[in-house]
Amino acid sequence: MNQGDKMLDIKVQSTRGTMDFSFLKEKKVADAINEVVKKFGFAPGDKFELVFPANPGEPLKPERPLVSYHITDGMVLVLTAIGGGV
Amino acid sequence: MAVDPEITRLHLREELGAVRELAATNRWGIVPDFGRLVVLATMYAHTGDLFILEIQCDNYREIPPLFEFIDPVTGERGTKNAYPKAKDSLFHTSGPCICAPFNRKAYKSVVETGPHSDWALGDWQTSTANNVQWANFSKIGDMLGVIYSRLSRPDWFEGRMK
Repeated sequence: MNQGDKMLDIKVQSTRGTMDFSFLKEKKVADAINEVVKKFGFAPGDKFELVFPANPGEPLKPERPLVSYHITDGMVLVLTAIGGGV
Repeated sequence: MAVDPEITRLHLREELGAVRELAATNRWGIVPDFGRLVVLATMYAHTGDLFILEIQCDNYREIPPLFEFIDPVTGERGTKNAYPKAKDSLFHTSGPCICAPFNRKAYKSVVETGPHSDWALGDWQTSTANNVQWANFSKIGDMLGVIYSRLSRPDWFEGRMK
């Protein structure tokens, strides 16, 4: 298996733009979120989630690897920040 | 000190440009009026309910915008029926208002019904109220995103405030 077979090339949309990402297929969703949050320049420490565009009500579970969601090259995920009411 | 409207327009163009693709994905309608420095936004809850937002951006980013919901049936501004209800207090019955540092209407120093006399308007971009990094909600797109997070999720959205 070459390196390319181990990687997922996806796009992530956020409120601050759209960026390309290349992740190991086995990478946990939580680790991918941390990487995405950093690259978009959000402050760490808040709750962020990744969702499929067609299903924003069901965030990807942070403990699961990306590959378990059958994510394939070219797919788009959406980064969501939850924040809080005060 | 008043912000030059041209500076505000530059911020709006940049921030609305950044969120364009996500807005299309989420079926948000975003209509900026660069002359009046007002942005109208529409978004749908997961139930199909339509919500309309008016965002007044005069003196942005020195002070936060002023968000108001508009009733999609009657056109009335700021009524409880215009507002969504969520499982947390982001949509607050006092006013009603969006209760977040990024909304001018949440400040008692601006609007009598504002729930917060303890916030300083000038701190809106760096606030950590309620242990939230509000810097993450300091762009117009971020603000729309956190509002939509309450509308799009069945476990958060509870219909209209009424």
